[in-house]
Amino acid sequence: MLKKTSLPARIIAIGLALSFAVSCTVKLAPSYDEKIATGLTTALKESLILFAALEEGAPAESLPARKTACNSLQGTLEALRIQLKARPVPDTKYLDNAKKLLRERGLDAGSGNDPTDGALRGLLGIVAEIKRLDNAQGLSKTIVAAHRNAMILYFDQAITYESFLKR
Amino acid sequence: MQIDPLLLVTDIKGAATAILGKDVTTITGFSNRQINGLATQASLVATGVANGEIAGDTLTFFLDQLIDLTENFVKTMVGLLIVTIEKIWNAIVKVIWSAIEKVAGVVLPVPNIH
Repeated sequence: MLKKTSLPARIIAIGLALSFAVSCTVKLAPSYDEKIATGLTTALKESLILFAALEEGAPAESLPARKTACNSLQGTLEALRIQLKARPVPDTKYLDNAKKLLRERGLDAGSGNDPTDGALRGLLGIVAEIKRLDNAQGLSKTIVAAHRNAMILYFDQAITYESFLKR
Repeated sequence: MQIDPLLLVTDIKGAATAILGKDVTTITGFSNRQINGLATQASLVATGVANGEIAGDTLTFFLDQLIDLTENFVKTMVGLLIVTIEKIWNAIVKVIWSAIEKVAGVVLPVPNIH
């Protein structure tokens, strides 16, 4: 309860309030980064173009073109992972408290913090697997469909999370 | 001049509800897309196994990937919820700070630990 009093008393009250409130607003998640968001959209477009070509079939004569497309996409994804690592991470003390709260309610994120990095790792795995299969046994319709679906899921995870950071 | 605790509680609830309402819609939508997508993925892998297109190392890859997709889905959900917790926490602090400002009669910068 605070009453309107003399200026010195008010200053003392403010000082007291500030000292109690030393940990007021917090940052539990990274800041939104437009470059990362834009980079993900670019990577998504590249991926969809690659899969559009794969869905038409993967004949041996177009293997060099697919290799180039895969390598370009790999480069884009690896560049994004590097950009992510450079992003400042918030103070972990309060983040750990928030994660403990969620763990107690059955949501355990496990070790590692960044879902976008997890998604990019998964996407790089898909590119590597496509390159491997294309060189070896070829890419059947079902395999292409499964890789495409997984790609969409990973991009959904990364893009949803990054957009949510805009706050 | 005093802080009215009941009014403060109403203001806090209002700030939290405004954030929760919007965020819950986004998070629920994401969760539904992921769950449907994971079910589709499992079905595609099963089809590939049944018709012989997915076997050996390729099958191992897809099975490991299903686990990874699920784990990263959970990681993303936790990430989204943490952002929501942050927004609500900070909104509550601002409501309390504003109430103190009105009583103190001065503008107080909201301290933060960003």
